[in-house]
Parts: sequence; structure tokens; C-alpha cells
Amino acid sequence: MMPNVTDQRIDQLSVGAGPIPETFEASFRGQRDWRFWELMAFYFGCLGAGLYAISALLDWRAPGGAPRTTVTGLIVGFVLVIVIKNGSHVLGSSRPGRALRALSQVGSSWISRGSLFILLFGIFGALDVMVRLGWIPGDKDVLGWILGILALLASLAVMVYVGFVMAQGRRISLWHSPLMPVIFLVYSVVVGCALATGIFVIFGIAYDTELVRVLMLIGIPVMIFLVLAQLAFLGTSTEAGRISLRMLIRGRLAAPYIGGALIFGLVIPLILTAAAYGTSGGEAVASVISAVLIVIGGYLFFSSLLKAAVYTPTVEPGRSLLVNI
Amino acid sequence: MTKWGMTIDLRRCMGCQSCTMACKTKNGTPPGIFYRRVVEKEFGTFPNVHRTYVPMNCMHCDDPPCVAACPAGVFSKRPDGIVDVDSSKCYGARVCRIVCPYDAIAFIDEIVPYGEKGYLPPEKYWYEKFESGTAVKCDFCIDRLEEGLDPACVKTCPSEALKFGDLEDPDSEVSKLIRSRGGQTLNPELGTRPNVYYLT
Repeated sequence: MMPNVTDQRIDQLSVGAGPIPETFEASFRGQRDWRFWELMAFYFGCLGAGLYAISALLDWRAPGGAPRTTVTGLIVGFVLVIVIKNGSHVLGSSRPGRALRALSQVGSSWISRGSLFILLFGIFGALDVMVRLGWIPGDKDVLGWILGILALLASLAVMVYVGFVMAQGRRISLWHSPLMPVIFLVYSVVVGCALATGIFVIFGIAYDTELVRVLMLIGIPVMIFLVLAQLAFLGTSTEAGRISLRMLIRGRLAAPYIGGALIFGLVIPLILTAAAYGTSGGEAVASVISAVLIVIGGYLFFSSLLKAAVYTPTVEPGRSLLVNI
Repeated sequence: MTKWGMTIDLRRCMGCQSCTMACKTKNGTPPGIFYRRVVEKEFGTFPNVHRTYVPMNCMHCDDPPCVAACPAGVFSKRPDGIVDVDSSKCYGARVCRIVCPYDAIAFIDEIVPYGEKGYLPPEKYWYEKFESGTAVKCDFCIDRLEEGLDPACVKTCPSEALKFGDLEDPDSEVSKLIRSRGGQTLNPELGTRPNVYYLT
């Protein structure tokens, strides 16, 4: 049975040092620990790491002797992760002076592992970009390949780790799913392709359009499948999961999630990309429109993911034996 | 080796929140911050409606998710079973609140006085040990344990619903109660192996 909890009521249920309660009712409450800065960090992390990975692939596929134009994508992706994502994490932490402690529990904490991945990405990514720009000798050499592969692996780890962090929240059915790391990986690749397309087309940078189009034609349907699978799992999960589901498909988040992220952010770009395949003239316009829709849709997707998270009460009917006394 | 644990008798608990107040008084926590509380739950349909009271605090799990998930090492599992917290290491990732299945960890966004006219003298003293932007939680009153005393909540409970003792000692009151009354842990399916047992 669907609990009688409105979305507005969920929003009003505060956490942490909020209003002093009259009673401590065991009730559903919305996740409000991670908000704007975490959203910025997660979103720009995916965007930057995805752009870096795609640009690295494009640069490798560039014919020998051709200008290394897609290095621009590497630099922008690197900056998004190292400056914007890291900056958002620091600004979002209440004690930024202790932020380096985030690296102290790599053996058990996914946030620590993620911090290590970002650090490694910063080191290998910077060296990789410098090698590709010719500032350090070794381009198209063993050293260049090793650095490029290490930076690519680090960027993939940066994409995925947030999914593992969120999947640890066992009381949040929306997040507690093995799909989360896959969702972050695939969405990062899709938004990375979109951002790369947008940047390269707008600034007239030559790139392998075929590779990007193929990646998008594979990545977007997979992402649509993952979004629908996540919604289907929510429907059969806990009551908190069903509240999240209702918020996403019928509540105030339906417009940004279903309309913005799913239809405008994935379905329409898929149709545009497929329709423009093999045509000339309208291809560039379709690519830019798709890119803009995907990048905006990605933001709405991650935003909805944080806002629709609902905690299962610690004492819930049907789950705890304690209510039967 | 001592392994501290607690039993909570739900037949005795009457929801008076004395334990909540004893905890706040002993620890001097700022407004809105509770290390423990008595959660109320209504269930059933009219006319067979019931209200149950479930005192909740940190379960001091044997496999605590907060210890594993915290990137800064704020939480640690002591040999005596207590999950200790060192807020001076906290930088505010808040993942502990996301992963704790028992909603046992509070986060001090900012320290504000209870009254509208500023801090009262005891508040100035109490709040010295807290930092805004850090996580805090129940530590079974470690300082009282070191003096041979029970935690403040156990000492205060007027209906003696709370008992505290060594779970490794088969002759301790808590061990006997768990055996005789069939003590249950909250949400055992999560595999966190709590050391707080409920008696029903």
C-alpha cells in the first residue's frame, strides 16, 4: 500500500540541526545532507571525466601528423574535474581545512578511494596533456601511451566511484542499487560525448564524428534502459523506494526527471542523432542541439537523483518485529 | 575481554523521553542535536490502533557502516565494542548519515543558543567541546564508564527499561536478559550486528 506521505511533507521533514521536534515520529524523510555542492561535484565530475575519456580516444584515433585539435577537450575535461569538481567538494565541506583527511581511509571508504582516483587523475592527466602538447617528450611513444592509458583508467574510476558511494546508503532505496555505478559510467560517457561534440562543433575543431556518433547511438539507448530499469526496481522495492518513484514520475520532480532528463535529455537527442546519421548539412546543427539537450538533461538527472532520495524510517511497519508487540 | 552492550525493554518503556533529556543534560548537546531519542510509531487501524515507543541510540555495531564509509576516520571501533567518534577529524562529508541504518549520527550545522537572548552561562560551557560542521553521536558515555558508572540514559530511566553491561560475560544482567527474553536487534538483515538488543 502506498504510504500517505505527500512530496511536500517529505520536503518539510528536516534533518540535522533543524527545528526542535515535539515528538520523534518514525516517518519517511527526504535526504537533505547532500545538496547543491555535492550535485555540482557529482555532475561536473561525470562531465569532465567523460569529456576527458572521449577526447583521449579521439586524439589516439587522429591520423599521424594531423593537428592535435582534440587536446582542447582533454584540457577542458581536466579542468572540470580538478577545479570545478574538487572545488565543489571543498566548498561543500563544512571544515575545508581538513579536506585532505578524505584520503585517509582508502582501504574501506569509497569517498577516500574516489579522492585517490581524483588525485591520480590529476597527476596522470596533467602529464598526459603535457605529453600530447609536446611540452614533455614521449608523444606517440611508450611513455605517452602508458600515461594516456593511466589517465584514461583514472578518469573511468572518477566516473564510477560516486555510484559506489551512493549505493552504500541502505536506507535510501533509490540509491541502494548495483545499477548506480553503471549509471554513472554510462551517463559520463554520454555527457562526455555530448560536451565534446558541442565544444568541437562550435569552435570548429576537427574530430572523428563517426566514433562519437557510434558511442552516442550505443550509450543513449543503454542509458534509457538503465533509467527505466531503475524506475522498475523502485516500484518493487521498499515503501521509501515507492515514494521516490512517485516523486520522480508523478510529483514535482516528474517535469525535470521524465520531461527534462529522460525525454529531452535522452530520447530526443537519440532521435536527432539517428536521424542525422549519414546526412549532410543538418548534421552539425543536430549534433549541437543534441549536445545541449544531453548536457542540460544530465544536470536535471543528477539533481533529481539527489532530491528524490527518501530515507526508510528506522522503525517501519512490516520490516521490524518490534511493531508487533 | 569486555564487550559493552545495552538492552532496551519495550514492555517497560513508556515514552517519557527521560533518557533523551538525561543524554542532552549529560552531553550538553546544542539545540536540535540528539544522541538518543524515543521514536514513536502508530500502527494498526481504528479501533485497534497501537502506539509503540522505541528508544534509539547508536547501536555500536560490530560491523559499523559509519567506520567503513567515513573518509576521514572520524569513527573507530574500540576493543570494548564501543564505536567511538572523534569529531576533530570531521570535515563534513556527511556520508556517515547516509550509510547509518539507524539514523544515529547527528550533524551540527551550526551551534545556536536555546534562548532568543543569546547563550546562557551553562551553554557557553557545554558548547565549548562542539564544533559546527562536524558529526557527533552516542559513545555510551565513555567518561562515565571509565568511572565505573552506567551511561546517563540507563541511570535515569524511571522504568528501568534500559540495562547496560558486558555482553561477553554470561552472568551479566544484559546477557541473562537477552537469553531469557530473546533479545532482538534492529534490522538484523542489514548485517551490521548491533550491540543494542530490544526485549519484547
